[in-house]
Amino acid sequence: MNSGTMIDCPSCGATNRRGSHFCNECGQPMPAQTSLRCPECGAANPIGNTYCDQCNARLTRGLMPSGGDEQPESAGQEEEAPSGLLAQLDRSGRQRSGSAQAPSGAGQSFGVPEWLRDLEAEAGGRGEPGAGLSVGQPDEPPVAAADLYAAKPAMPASPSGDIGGMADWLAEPEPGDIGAGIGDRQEQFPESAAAQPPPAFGPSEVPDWLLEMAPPEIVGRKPAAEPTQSAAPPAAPRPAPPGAAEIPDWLLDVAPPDVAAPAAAPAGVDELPERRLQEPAGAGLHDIPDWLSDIGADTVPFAGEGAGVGGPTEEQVPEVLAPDSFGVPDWLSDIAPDEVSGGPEAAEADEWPEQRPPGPAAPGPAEVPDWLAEIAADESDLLPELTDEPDLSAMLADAAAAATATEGVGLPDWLQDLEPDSGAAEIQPGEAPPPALPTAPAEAEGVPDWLRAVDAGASGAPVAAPAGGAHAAQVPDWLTDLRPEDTVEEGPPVSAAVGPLGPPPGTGPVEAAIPEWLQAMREQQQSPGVAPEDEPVETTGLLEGLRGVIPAQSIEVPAPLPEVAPEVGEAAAARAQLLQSLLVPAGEKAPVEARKREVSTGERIARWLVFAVVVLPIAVVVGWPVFAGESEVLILTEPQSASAEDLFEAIEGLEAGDVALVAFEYGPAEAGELGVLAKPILWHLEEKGAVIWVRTTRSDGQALADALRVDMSITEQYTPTYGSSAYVPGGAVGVARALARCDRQDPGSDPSECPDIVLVLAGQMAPLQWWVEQVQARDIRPPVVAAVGASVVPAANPYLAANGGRIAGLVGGLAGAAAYEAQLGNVLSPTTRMLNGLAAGHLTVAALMVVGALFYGLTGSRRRQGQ
Amino acid sequence: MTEGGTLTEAIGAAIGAGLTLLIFSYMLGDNPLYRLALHIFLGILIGYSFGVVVRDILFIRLLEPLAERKWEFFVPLLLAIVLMTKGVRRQAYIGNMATGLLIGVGTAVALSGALLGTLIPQVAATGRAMAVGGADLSQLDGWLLVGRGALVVLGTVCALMAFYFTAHKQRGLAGLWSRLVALAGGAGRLFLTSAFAAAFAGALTSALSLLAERLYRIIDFFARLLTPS
Amino acid sequence: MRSLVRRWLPTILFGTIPGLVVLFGYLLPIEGLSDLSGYFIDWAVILAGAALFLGIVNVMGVHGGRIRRRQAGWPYSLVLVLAAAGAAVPPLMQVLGFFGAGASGPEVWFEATRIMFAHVIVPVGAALGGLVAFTLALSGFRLLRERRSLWAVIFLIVAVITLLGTTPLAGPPGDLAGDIGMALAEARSWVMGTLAMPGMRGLLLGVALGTVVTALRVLATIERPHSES
Repeated sequence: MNSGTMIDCPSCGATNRRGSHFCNECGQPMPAQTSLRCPECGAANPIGNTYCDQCNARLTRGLMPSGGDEQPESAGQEEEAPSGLLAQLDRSGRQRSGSAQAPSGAGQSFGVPEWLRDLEAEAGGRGEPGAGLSVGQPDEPPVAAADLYAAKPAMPASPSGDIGGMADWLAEPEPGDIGAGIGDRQEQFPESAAAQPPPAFGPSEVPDWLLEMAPPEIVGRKPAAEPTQSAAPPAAPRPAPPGAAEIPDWLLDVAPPDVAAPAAAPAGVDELPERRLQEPAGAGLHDIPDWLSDIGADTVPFAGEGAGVGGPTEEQVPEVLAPDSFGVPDWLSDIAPDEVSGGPEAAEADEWPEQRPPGPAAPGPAEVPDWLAEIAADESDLLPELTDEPDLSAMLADAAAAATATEGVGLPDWLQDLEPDSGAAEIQPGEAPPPALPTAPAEAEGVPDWLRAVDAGASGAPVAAPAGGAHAAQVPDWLTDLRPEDTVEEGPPVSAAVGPLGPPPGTGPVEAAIPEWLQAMREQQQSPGVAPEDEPVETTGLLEGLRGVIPAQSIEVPAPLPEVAPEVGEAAAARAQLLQSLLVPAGEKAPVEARKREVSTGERIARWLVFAVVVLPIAVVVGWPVFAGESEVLILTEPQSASAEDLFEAIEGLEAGDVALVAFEYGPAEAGELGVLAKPILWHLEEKGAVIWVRTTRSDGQALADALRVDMSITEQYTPTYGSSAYVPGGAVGVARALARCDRQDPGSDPSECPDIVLVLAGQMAPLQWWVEQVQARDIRPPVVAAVGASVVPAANPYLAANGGRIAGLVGGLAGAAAYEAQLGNVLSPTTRMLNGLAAGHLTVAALMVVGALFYGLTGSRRRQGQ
Repeated sequence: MTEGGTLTEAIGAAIGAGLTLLIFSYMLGDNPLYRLALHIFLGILIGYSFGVVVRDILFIRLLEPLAERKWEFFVPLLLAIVLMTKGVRRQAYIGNMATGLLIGVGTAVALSGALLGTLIPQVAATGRAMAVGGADLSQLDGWLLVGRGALVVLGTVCALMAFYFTAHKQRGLAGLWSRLVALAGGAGRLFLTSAFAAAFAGALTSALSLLAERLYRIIDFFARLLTPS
Repeated sequence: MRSLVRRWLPTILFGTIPGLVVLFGYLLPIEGLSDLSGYFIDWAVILAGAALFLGIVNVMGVHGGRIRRRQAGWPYSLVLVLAAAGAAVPPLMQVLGFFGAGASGPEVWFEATRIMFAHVIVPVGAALGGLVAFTLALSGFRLLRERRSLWAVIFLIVAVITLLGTTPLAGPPGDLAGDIGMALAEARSWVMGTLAMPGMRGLLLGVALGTVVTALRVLATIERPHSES
């Protein structure tokens, strides 16, 4: 993951500091440009980003790293040419073979490596050019293993030293040579092509053993891009780029083209031990990776399965792959030319058994060329020098001839990247330039026809010098034939990411070709005003390296919608406004003005109806004594004095001089209710002779307390409020301050400063909770009694129900006030009138709710039936 | 009460009644009179709060102790001044010290209160709900008492479980447990619905009480006004 | 340095340390700890008042700006500012009483405050609260229109029982109304104690748990609400 200060190495994935030129882990060059600038907002984004971090716009291709990654793209190609080895191989091979099936964007090919030319020369008249390779022709015999080994490619100089004269092409296989089969596969299974993983398997990631071996005479590819084949089940996404120790799947599927006489194979096999002895110093004779030895021991791809796709059977070359012997794996021997046995059935050991394309069988074990037998599985490039070079030219030529267009099938990027002429273009950021494949000398003796054909083809095609510069390889004809017809493309391919050196001008990998049937499914609409070659290249994910898969359309931020006043019911708006004005503490925020909105007639009628239903009964009941006389009180309900017994008893237990801390925790909005409720209780306290301390966490609490006091004509029992400052702001902190000296645990506490009872007058639950909790948290816990509004009673019940005196007594609302007055013996008081008015209101509202439920319940069901 | 006081009370009562009617005019829709009464109400509250803060906090809790040479009160004075920087956007970060103290102390107080005042007592009370040792199981009332206690415990537990709706559907024993959790959550929803309905009824009762009290005051005022005593 | 002042100073020095002192002051009977805890609580109370002061100044600034720019609704803002200025006078004058007029201040300012609250604040506030009754009644009327489900029906039933049981109909024994009233009162008692109370207790426990967790996170500086600008 690329972050703002760190960047991941494209080669090995190690995290490096942004700005590093080389990876700390693998030493591969890091991209020069470490950020992508967004075309929309200009923000710098990490290279791996597809969308801008700031504005979510698509990061267009034009802002790709400026390491020279701008690759002209063939017109008409919507998708990004996989910048991999295979594309290079494919394109090169096709171009050499003159096939129109070269993938789009191709246009470059690389010369036949020295070793290939040598092999071609050696092979001489082994057969038709390319006859040794029958790619995609299931009926053709597999490539003779001997042909694979017949040619002795000149091994390139490797970092690990001389590898004993092995053909150059073995040391640095041409991308095109290897990629033809892949192209064929992708033609048949475009889904797999589309699902090709990111071209992470760049040239530098091609294992050395692969680079040093003969270009895989890919077998098992059908010549024509048949739609029916395309309908094969989609391939599973390719696994992670194979490491050097893994055999690429395509390689497993490769069936060797027709190669030279199989007679050479046994010799090649016999010579394996000898070759092994010729390994350069330091080369471990037993440096066979387990996978290679295991392959020989257990499963031999293409072996023993019917015709066997491209390889000798296990019986044929068992010793080659014995764990303790250094031999050519069957799968590798299978691809020896002239022994392509073809056959649609292949060993099931590979990963895509259902996708295994029928192809020529591998050559027999006796035909395994020496060079192939000497292939070192060790990644350290320690391959023995082969004495016998297989007829690689013939192999390649056959492959090229036999391979059909792999239309619409892109080559894996890693394979495309092997094309030396665009090697630098295919390099993933940070990767080293791909080692160029050696070119077999044309005059190499014993070069198979296929290889010679490759050389011939390669020589005639424009070849871009690889980044390495020294070696050039040619894509065998069979390989070029495998390219899809409609992917022929001139000009360098487009690379999603390039190394610091950038691609050579005019070179580049071949674009992958998408079959027609798949193209038809593509979204035709492109980014407006964006040329296909300017389509952004996918840099991450399964589509890495492809272009134009997703139209480069910036994510348009939709214009802000015009402000539309929300449809808020007037009643709801009024309620919201009122609640806000009531709940927001005074002085902190001005109330939100209710939005004006057109009120429908039905709404008005409903409002007036509710007003009438609610107000009129209450007004009549409350005002009845006014009209009927003072003594005539409409009694609808009676006070439930039992509900106030606990509180009454708690206050009744006080003695004269006891301190009662009265917390005025209600505001003006609740004063109408709490004032009525507090009066009888305060009066009771006064009657008992208690000293009342007023405390409040509200700024207006003191004023309300004074107003109540005056209303009750109580003047002597209140302590001076201004001196002691009843106001303790801070909510629970203020309550804690009010009770700070009332803690037995506190050695400095003064019991005289602790009240004997705490009376909380709360219009909301929160203040009640503060007082109850803070009293409970102290060791000295005076009994807490509460007189709360009716809305607080349900929330306060759990405290009341908790044993242990959390709340010793609780009364709520007008009903509680009336009940307490009843306890005091005061029956006919204004509270009684208000209580009966409340009862009338309860009746009418309850009836209203029931009527509304029936109305909307029935009409709603009728509406549903009518719909 | 003196006549002046009576007059004052009469005028005050008239003002109160008039403002009450102005507020009730909102039933006709939002109108300038309603807004006028509302802004008067808010202005008085805001202004009075300002005066109380200056009086009770600045003078009584800060300047008075400093006048008594309690120098430790310089710290809150300085912090209060620092808190004023919150009003300036660029220097608002300086006020973080004051808000840090506020939040730290408030958090500790809330934590202790929630733990010692609610969590432990309520859990204990839930457990004690089943403590019906004195119930006479030979009588129906005894069983009703036990049943009620069990229902209280079950309701509390189910109400807590109702907040966990993401019981993944699994198979086997795990699936049985998840279904059990879902069932308990559904039962808890019943108790929560009942709690909310009771709260709704309580709020309605409180509002009707206020309405009744206001109507009483208005009617009483007009009755006194119209009835020469 | 700026990061130190912005983040870590308020977090650790002024937030976590005082918070832990106050918390342990609740739990541990250590004399010095209790004293220090008391100081921190005092300072927090003062700062809370200062915060309210700052809020009021901000509100005045908003309305003052609206008046100055003659924005929409500026007359109402003018009324608010004038009312606030008038309401702030009595408590501020009481401050002057500290310096000459005695501890309780001039009676006239006390009376002014009382009149303000008794005849303006309380009536308007109560009227506003009474208006809520209409909206709640209307919402109750439309209950099943908004949501037609079993839970809505349960909600309706519980609310109706609670309403009617709070003020049960009175009547002599044997009277139908009286019997119905008492039955409703019993039903209300059962609903409140067996259905609503467990649900409410579950809510309280959930809130307490959340409070404990949040408080611990703040004290552990995992969350820094005071220094996140």
